[in-house]
Amino acid sequence: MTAAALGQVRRWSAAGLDAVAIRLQATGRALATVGEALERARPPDAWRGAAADAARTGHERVATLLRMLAADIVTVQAGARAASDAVGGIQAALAQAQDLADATGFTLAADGTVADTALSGSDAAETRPAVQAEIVDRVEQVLRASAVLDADLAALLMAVAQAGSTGSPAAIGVVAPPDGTPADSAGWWSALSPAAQRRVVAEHPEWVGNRDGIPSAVRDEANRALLDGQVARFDADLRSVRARYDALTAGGPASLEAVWLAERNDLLGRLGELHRREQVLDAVRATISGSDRRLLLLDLDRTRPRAAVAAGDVDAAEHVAVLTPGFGNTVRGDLTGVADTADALRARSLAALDGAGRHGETVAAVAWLGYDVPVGLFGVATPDAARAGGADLARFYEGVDASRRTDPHLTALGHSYGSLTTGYALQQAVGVDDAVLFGSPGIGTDHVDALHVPAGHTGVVEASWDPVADLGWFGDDPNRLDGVTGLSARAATLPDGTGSGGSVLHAQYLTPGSTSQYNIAATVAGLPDQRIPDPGIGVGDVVRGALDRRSGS
Amino acid sequence: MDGFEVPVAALRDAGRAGAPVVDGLAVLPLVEAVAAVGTALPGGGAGAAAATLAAAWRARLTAATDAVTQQAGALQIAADGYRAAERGAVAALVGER
Repeated sequence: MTAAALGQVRRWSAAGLDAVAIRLQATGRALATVGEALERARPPDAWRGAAADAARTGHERVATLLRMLAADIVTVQAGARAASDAVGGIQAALAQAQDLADATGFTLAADGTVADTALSGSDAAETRPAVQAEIVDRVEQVLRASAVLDADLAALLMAVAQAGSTGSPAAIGVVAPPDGTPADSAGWWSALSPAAQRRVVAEHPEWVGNRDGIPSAVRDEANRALLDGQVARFDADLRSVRARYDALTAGGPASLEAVWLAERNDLLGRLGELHRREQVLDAVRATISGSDRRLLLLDLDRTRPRAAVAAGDVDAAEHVAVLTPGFGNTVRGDLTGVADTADALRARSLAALDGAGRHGETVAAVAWLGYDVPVGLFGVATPDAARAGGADLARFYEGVDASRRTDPHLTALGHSYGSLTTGYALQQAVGVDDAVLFGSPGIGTDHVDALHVPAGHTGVVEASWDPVADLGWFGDDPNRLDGVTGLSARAATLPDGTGSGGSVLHAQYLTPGSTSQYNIAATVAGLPDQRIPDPGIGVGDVVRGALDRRSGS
Repeated sequence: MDGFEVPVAALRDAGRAGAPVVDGLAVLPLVEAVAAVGTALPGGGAGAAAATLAAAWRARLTAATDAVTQQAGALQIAADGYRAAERGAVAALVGER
């Protein structure tokens, strides 16, 4: 089978397939009328004998042929309808890719190639390869969806041709997601028809729940369904293990006491694991119980479970922030707290927008616990978890961009070890507009321009007496790097005349009412001119500077 | 089974009722309907599959039409046969008049 080229796919017609379905429906009705006529040709009941039996067999053979034909028609009609839906999805995805190409100065050729037709030296030249790659990804998914639809429909028609209808048709145009970039996933999703999208969420929520590039509302729906399934499985596991434990211990130790003890201890261990799992499930459920929250990541089968929860509408908000916490934060113990912190930050950003007269602009904030946050001193001393997590976080940032039709103002926020993870992510991701790193022990590079953030849009906050922020453990102390904007964590008077409090030590950066929270919120809101600057030079920096001078470094 | 009962007139009616079935099958636009898939999806493989299906359906319609025609004809032949046998029996038993 040859795959259709983009130029041919452009001419695919959902209306044409609808017409096929309508015509088949009419044909089915006409065939039903023929079937009624055949009833009148049935051998009379009063006819008895061997010839009558043979005649009835002959009549039934014809009736069976017509019934099979009717079933064929119903199957192909349903297939044509499903294919029409799928073509609608493909055309919509193609239109999105075309819109993006038109808006950014690219052209889509009939063979699917994407050419840059903008004048050289145009604005944002450094981002053009990324834009082109996204358009290419989207076109690839359109062609992939087209090929699958065509193959599905062809297989259905051939099956009916060869063996007749075998019942309801298999899914038409429901394509498994690609292994690719977030833009690939976004293209895949947009190329599915609404019916296929509903089918994917209902039948394969695991395809989309954690997939970067999928709209957040879809991820939330899928992950909530998966969470329900995990809760049900947990309940069944707990009942089973408890029943085994009760049965084992009901009569006291058995004659082979060592065997009995080993089995009992094994069951106690499993009950302990289940208890921890219950706490994780409870934490996730409690965190998403707020009506305005979305569950964007759910991966509880790991040694260190992962989750991400958004406050606000990530799919539509003008401003989106992704907050990555650091050392010691777990889904079980901290997801609710980090989500509440993101909530409060969002509220502060909205207040800042109101104060600036930018009423109606919206904000979403994501608490992202999507990596193996170190929980021990050994883990936090190495960059390994941050490096691995940074790759996942970069995909998450790019997924936020790719899943939307409008480009959000996207801010990356990293605290403590999470700032290192953020630093690694920003060395890979494109599409992040602002970054604020606070309480940072280093960002994995000594060069701010290695971060894919526009020049002048990387902020650093260092509170007084924050020992972690002066460590410079993973690269130079961020507030001493060229190109960063120092933001205040001291008590201050804000642009609206109100006072804000100072932050000290390592854990107060996002405390409501603090200057540091205000500065971070103003960054998230896209209000850089309203921030309170401060290089954040404290005792630790002075001491470290003196030591550096003495050692000659 | 060696006994039988035959409502010959009803048998003829059933045979005659085959004709509208054949007529209905002849005008069923099944093949044309599915053939339009190729027009709706140019460049793909579904169009060729639709053509294969159209051929299969055409063959099934022909088979159904032939079966109905054959069945209707057989009912008429049976009715004629029963009528002739009845007449023959009467003639044998009562004698030619």
